[in-house]
Amino acid sequence: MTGVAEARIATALFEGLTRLDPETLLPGPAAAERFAVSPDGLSVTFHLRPDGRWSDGSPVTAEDFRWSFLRVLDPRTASPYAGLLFGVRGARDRQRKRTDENSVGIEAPDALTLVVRLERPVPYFASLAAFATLLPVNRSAVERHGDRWTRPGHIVTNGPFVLEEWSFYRHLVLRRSPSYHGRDVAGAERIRLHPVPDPNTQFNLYETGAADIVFSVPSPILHRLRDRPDFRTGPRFATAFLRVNITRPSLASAAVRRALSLAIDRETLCSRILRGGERPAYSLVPPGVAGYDPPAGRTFEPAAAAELLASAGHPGGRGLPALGLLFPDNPEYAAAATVLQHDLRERLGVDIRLDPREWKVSLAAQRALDYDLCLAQWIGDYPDPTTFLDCFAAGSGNNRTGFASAAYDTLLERAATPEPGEPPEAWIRRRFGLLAEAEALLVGDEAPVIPLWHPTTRFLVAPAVQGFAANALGLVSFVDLRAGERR
Amino acid sequence: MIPFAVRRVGGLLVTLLLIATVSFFLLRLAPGGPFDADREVDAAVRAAQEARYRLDRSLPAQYAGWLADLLRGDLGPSSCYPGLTVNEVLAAAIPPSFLLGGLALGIALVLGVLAGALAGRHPGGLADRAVSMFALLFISIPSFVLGAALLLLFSLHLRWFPAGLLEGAASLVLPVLTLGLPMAAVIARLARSGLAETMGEDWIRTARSKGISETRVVLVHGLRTALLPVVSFLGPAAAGVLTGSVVVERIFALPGLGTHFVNSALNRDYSLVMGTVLVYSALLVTLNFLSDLALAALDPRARTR
Amino acid sequence: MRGAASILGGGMLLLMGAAAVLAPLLATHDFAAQDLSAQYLPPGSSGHLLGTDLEGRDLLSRLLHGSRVSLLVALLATLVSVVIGVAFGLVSGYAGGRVDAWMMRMVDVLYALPFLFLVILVMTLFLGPRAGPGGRVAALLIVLGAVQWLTMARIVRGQVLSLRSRDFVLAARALGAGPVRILLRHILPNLSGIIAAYATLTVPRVILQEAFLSFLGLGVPEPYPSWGRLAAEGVRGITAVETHWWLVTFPSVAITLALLGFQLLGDGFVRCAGDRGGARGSSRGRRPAGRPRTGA
Repeated sequence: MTGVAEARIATALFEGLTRLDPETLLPGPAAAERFAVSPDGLSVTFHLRPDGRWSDGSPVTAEDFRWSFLRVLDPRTASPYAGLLFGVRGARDRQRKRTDENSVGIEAPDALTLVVRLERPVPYFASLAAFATLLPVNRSAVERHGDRWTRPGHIVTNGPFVLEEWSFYRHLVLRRSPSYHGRDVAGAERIRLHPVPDPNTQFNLYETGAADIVFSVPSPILHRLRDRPDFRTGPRFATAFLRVNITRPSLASAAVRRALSLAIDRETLCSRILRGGERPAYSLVPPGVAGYDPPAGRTFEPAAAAELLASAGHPGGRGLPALGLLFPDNPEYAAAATVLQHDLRERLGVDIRLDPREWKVSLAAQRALDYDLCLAQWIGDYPDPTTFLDCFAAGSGNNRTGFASAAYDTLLERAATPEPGEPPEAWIRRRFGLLAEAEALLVGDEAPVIPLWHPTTRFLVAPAVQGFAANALGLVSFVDLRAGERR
Repeated sequence: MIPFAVRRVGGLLVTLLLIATVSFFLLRLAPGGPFDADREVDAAVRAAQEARYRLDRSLPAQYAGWLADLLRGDLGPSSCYPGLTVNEVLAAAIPPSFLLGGLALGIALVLGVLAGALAGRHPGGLADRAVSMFALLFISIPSFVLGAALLLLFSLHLRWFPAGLLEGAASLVLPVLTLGLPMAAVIARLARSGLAETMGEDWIRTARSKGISETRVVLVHGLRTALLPVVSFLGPAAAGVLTGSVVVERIFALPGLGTHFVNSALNRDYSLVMGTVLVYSALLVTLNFLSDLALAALDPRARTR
Repeated sequence: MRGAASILGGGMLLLMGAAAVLAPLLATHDFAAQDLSAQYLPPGSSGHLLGTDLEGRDLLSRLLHGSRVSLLVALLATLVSVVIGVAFGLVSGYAGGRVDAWMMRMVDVLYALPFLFLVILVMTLFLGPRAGPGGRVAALLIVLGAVQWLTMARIVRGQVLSLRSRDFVLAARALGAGPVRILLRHILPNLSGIIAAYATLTVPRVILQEAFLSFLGLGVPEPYPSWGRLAAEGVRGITAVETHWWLVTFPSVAITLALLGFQLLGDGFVRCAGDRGGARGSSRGRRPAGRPRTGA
């Protein structure tokens, strides 16, 4: 399970310990009716609701969660997101060295209490607990059916829905779970989902009445939909940016990279080319983390950009080779890339060669640092700056720019631990301050990362449908959906 | 006759094995692997994933394992659709593809042969010119433009047919036309030129002079020989249309094989690529074989020899 | 009448060829120049005869330059396919027996290989990160030519099989001519009609293949236009609320006209091939023996 589409279905079928508020992204009660962080921040205790039931009627217990979390850590499960649990004491060793499962800091002292002990404080752990990877799975179903435990008839769920029908690449039918604790909330009895890869086709199906909700909208017509009442859009906790390969001699100078960043007119890019309500991005961390103020970054200053490039020894782009701009070939990136090419040539005299590649080829080139500039996007997993900033630590596999800064790593490291005796609130304030300092280094001074825009979530929801809510992570709550009169 | 058929079937199997072998090693030359993603996966997880798909072994060992599984009818697990085997993906995708492709093939044959017969009876006549122009037009439009145009007119404007999804007979109409019309155009041209040529042959003239009715001459004597080029075209063409079209499947959101041809290639799902290649090549060599047999049966000159 | 059709076809192609050659002179705008104050203008507005696209680029100029890319790719890929296909077909058909069986088996194998993988492979193995558009077009040529020669090889081989036991070939052999001489002097001239006919039909296939690759995002790169890429981009604009009809219509019309031109011309060649086959050599030369066959 890796995509947002899969996560939407998973969160309809399963209920995690917490759920993020669609507006604030703050964690609230779900399978756990309350949770508490110890004063030292080193343990989080979740109190499960007593009326939690699996769809086979058995109670949802703390042991279910413990078993599910340990399953995520089991290399045989091969969960790509196992790293989310590495803040838990002993989790990394369990996964890497197969240490005893009792050495992992996940305990179920009684049926309704789950205690998670952390290596060091993870202030956002309650938010992590809402992530799709940390949803509980039913042990007996998994053990009985192996790889096929997710099939209708095998799957046992604890969320608002059960899987009634599933036909590969055709449709899924979700039916309200009779055993769900919130079953009395008014809502649709059944929800039918169709996987439709092409946004144009999705839109056509919606417009001809074959679908009531679609989860993406073709970008060429966004401006025509923006004022329609059935168009729902919201910020997305994500950033599109340019990776700069700083191991290239021509891009080794921070001044050159800063000049590139200053020369890009993000306002125009968003309003004239992307046209879907995207916001210009000057920081890597998107706005929306409560209490965190991203740094100002580099804005559009073409004169300053040209000056800076000249002072770096390349007046009018002289002495710089043509730079390749790698991007996975899709219409949105292609349009953005032509604009970047245009901007950098006009403002700086820098020649850009567009290098659209097939997706996997572009990934291989990024991993091998075989590119000059590269269009990329990062979607946050949980509402905290570190979901973005950790990528650019020296050893991170997601770095892919060659950027390795001791100052940056030290700032992240200092942010990660409270000082002895520091009260939690003070630490969280100081932590956000240090993270903002690190980010300023990343997007302001060193600029191996040039933020471009913050994408949006886009949905079309038929007027008759009520109770639609989506959050910035792209997740949609199906539980309150109600169909009124069909158009 | 029997030893000949056995030899031919043996030859087909050798061809299939060669295709599979070359494809297997060719796939690994392309950059990127099934588990490369936008975010880096933890090393231990990656190792576990690779072990599950046998990617941790040497290439020859992988090949041997794949062949051994194949002999047992197991095409292995799919990596881009986790939790599904290639057998399951193919079992889900083949029926809709065969349905669509079969219908398109049927329509193309009926329309194409009729139009070709109409045109070829009197080469140079009005019907001939009209059929030729229409045929050229449908051959010359890219399928994604034809599909989009049919969709715009008959679904979005007239609302006669659904805009996509495989639900009910009405949803088949536009995709079948998108697939079938260009093929009908090719068949019409082949049948037309075949018929026009045959109608001038001595033995047709003989048949006419014997007082056999014109319809009978065209349908029984002329068309039979005129269809030879159509039959030899049908071998590879039918294999192509039965294994689905990614363009049509994408425009109309259909769950066919063409989508998996592309998805598996783009996601480096090696076992699924191999599965789709096997399906396609098995169809291709079988249909070519059948079309050769049909040619021998239809061709009067081949029989007299 | 058929003669008139091939003249019409040839005339259309000549016009298009001229437009492609003269594109820099005929184009009213720089094909890559963006003008964000002129987005999605319909045809005829303020100096844009065929309208503009999302980035405000002039469609007419893009089509003209696109004709260079599309026609060049199509012609060169066809040339590649003719050279390889004819050589392969000649050798296979003339050698006959076991050699022929294995060579045709190789064609069958290549025919069934996953085409998309070939595209991805060639596009990556041959291109570095700073490959210019020229390199990409070259890679595209290799891929498209590599696929198209298979059918050409089958057709040529079929013809050679039927010609090699003819009297004039046997006579040449009796007079002591070597295989190379027989193939080049006696057999190849008899095939020129069918080769030309099939080659003219290959050009449209290549144009459609390039369009298909563009539809999947694997064709000629931005900002260089090809007809296929333009049409594929235009198709994305067909929706229920809005259709930038000119963006899909004009490129499609260009493709269709070019294809029509080649088909008409090809028909003419096919007819000529028939006549010439009858005139030269034997009485039974009119029926082309070139149907694809598998195995021996």
